[in-house]
Amino acid sequence: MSHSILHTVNQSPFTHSALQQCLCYAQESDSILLLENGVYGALLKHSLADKLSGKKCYAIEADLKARGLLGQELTPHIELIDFIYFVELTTQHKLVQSWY
Amino acid sequence: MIFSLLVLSPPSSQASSSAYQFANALLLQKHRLYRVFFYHDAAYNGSSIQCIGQGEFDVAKEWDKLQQQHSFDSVVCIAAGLKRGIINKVEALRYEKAAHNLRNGINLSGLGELADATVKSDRLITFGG
Amino acid sequence: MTSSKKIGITLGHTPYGSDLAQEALDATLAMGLFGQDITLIFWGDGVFQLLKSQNSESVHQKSLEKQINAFELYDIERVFVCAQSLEQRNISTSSLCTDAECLSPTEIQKVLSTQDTLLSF
Repeated sequence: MSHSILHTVNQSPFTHSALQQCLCYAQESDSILLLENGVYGALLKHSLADKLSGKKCYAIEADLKARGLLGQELTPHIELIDFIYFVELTTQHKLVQSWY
Repeated sequence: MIFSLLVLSPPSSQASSSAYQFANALLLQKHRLYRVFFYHDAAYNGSSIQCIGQGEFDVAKEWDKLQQQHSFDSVVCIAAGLKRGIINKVEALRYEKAAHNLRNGINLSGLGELADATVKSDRLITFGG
Repeated sequence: MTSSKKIGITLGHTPYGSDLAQEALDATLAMGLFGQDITLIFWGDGVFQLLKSQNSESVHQKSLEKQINAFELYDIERVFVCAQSLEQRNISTSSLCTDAECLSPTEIQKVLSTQDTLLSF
């Protein structure tokens, strides 16, 4: 865990390459956090969903809720978290890379 | 742990509010916030004269309250601030500007403060976009 | 200032469209002046910052190329560029203004893991 990276992604994968790039450099031991417009990445069946399902993945629940996404079909293994847990994740990973 | 934040987004971007929420959450967990460095378009967070509509979230005001409670260092990069019209009294005099608008509690300072924060913090988190 | 840390600066945005790339370079040079141990990683659209023959006077901006060529003066010697990002953009290394070392995404992962902190631009 100590050498792993928390990647944060805050752009929609449908308009922006942030998530795609993040997936290109994220290692097995890394984690991905979707926040702000990045939470659109939690929608099932877009082209990156398969790649995403191979990584430990989190999303800010309030951002999904704000965008009306909680009622939508989401990639099942994504864990919904709050900012307290976001802070916790940054302490559990050695590095944080922000994709925006 | 000791945290510092590098904020790059203006108040109009949600990333600016995420940075605030992250700061709030880390302080609730008894971590230490060493410095918030507002750079690039985040310099606009240093303005004291924006007027926020009723019922809208005033992120600058919330930063202010948080800082008063926890007394962490808040810095607007001086180069990024000046070119965006974020200016304090001293610089307004130097550049012969008619007004100044930097919020109380925030310093205008150089990139050395970012280097210092990077060295002195266990975690530096970037908020951009 | 206490002892230096290994600081990775990642650069993923195009130059000139906004001043983010310029301000990222300003931050990089400042870090260098403060004696920090810096590694630069250009990836994604950030690789466009490294193109030679930039003539930005026509868009009223300072040339990034000139500043990138000044890295050595600031003791910034570890400059990496993502080979895959170059390939996706059909750019050959001979078009770059600096002799950045070309790394695969896997090699970049290794470089990242040796850093103490990352600044993401």
